[in-house]
Amino acid sequence: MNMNWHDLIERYISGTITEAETEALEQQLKTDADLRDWYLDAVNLDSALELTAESAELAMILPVPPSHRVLTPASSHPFRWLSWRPLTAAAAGLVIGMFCTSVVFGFGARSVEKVLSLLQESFESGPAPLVTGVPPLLEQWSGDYSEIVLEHEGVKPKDGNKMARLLRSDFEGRTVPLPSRQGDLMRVVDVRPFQSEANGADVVLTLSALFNAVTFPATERYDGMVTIYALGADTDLRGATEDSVKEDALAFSVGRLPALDRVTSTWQPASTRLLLPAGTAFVMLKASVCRMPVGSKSLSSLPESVTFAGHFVDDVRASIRIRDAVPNHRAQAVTQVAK
Amino acid sequence: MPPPLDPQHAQFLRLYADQEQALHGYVRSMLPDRHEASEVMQEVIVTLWQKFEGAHDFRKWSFGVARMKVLHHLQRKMRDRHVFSEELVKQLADRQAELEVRHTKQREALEHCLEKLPQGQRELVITAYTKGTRMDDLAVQRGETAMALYKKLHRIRQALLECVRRTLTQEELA
Repeated sequence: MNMNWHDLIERYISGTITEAETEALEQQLKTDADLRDWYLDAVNLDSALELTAESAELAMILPVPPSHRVLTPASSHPFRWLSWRPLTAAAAGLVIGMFCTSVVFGFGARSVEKVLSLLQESFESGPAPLVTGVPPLLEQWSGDYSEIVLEHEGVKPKDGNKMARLLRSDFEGRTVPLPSRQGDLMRVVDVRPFQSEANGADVVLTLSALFNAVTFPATERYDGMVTIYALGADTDLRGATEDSVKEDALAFSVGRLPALDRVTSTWQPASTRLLLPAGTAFVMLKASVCRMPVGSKSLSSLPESVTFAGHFVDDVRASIRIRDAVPNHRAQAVTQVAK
Repeated sequence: MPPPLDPQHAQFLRLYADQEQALHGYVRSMLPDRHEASEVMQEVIVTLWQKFEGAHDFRKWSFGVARMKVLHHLQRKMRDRHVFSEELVKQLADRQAELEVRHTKQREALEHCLEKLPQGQRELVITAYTKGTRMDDLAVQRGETAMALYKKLHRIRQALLECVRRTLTQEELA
């Protein structure tokens, strides 16, 4: 077989390789030391590009707490314009208040999984979202100015007859004197029952939401974004701001849908997931639409606040996956429990 | 104001920040799928902190934890015929650890090589690697086919790889 090994490595990394090609590449790699080094160089490049993109994204959308920033001095960082790595940020967040131990899964262990629905929201019923920023209560949508609407200017709800429309990038009584170019909807959910059921096993929370918009000018860009904040039992939501929630969070995770299309018939997803640190009692779930600069323009080229012409969120879902480790002799087939 | 970091927390973060890129590359050498690697890295971070007891050979210990997590993950998907065998994965992981210095230099050279790319190519590659980007959606936005986009990205990656290798060779000769 006459193979272009470098091309196969590329396709292996991008997940577009066939079984037969995987087998051929494996045999070649086992005997060709130079090709192994090429493979590892290619993977290293891919990994570095991934971290570069994630860091660039995070640096653009998440202000870094000053107390954490000092831990990664820019002078030691290989990428000048990136001063913060997302996983380091996650590590910085997750370690606050996390002192219990757990088992490092031994090689050869099997896992049993449960998947449970935490939230499925299509805005068909329930009270309208508050417009007071961070929700003051559990199980209540709140955030920036928004409304629940029926079909609107050609945009049909994805699920049911209603959807949430984000109106502005600020909320009632907002006093933070900083620009805000994203409209948020947030909800705080109690996850203690799930943590109790997990009994020390890994708990992974997945959050997704669908986004759509009326046709906006081609010179504008809007991103969809979902965020999970893991919060401890002592979190006090009264008077909290998103910055204070972020500071106090045990960990957070962001998923992003870059550049919403301008087609009213398509709903586009953003999703993220987070391994909840021990001690997580609540999670704050957030769906946002962010005005972003186009091309090489900077954020400062945008207005400091945004009024959205017609941007919508629907079908917000959160699920919990409990993954337990059991010894080999007790290994069972993977179990999925429907919501 | 957030509470000050306790000394153990600060020490852990400093050690972890020093190793994160190498650790990520190590995981990716065994697990090429970005999303799976990201999930495993989260597990690695949590375990490292939960088990952290001090600075003694943090690199060796963290790589050991990462290796175990990846192998455990691969065991769960043993039936997938699109991944390498455990034997080859271990062979690659061993070599990856040996190449750490070279790969650190390559990552440093990448900044220089990205700056040399035409702006359009640089933006494309950063967008393509941004979490949540779907290649088919990106292709539609750009008015291209997904296959054409894959080929374009392939050429950019090859150019970057050649550039970082060339940069390192020049440094070695200097």
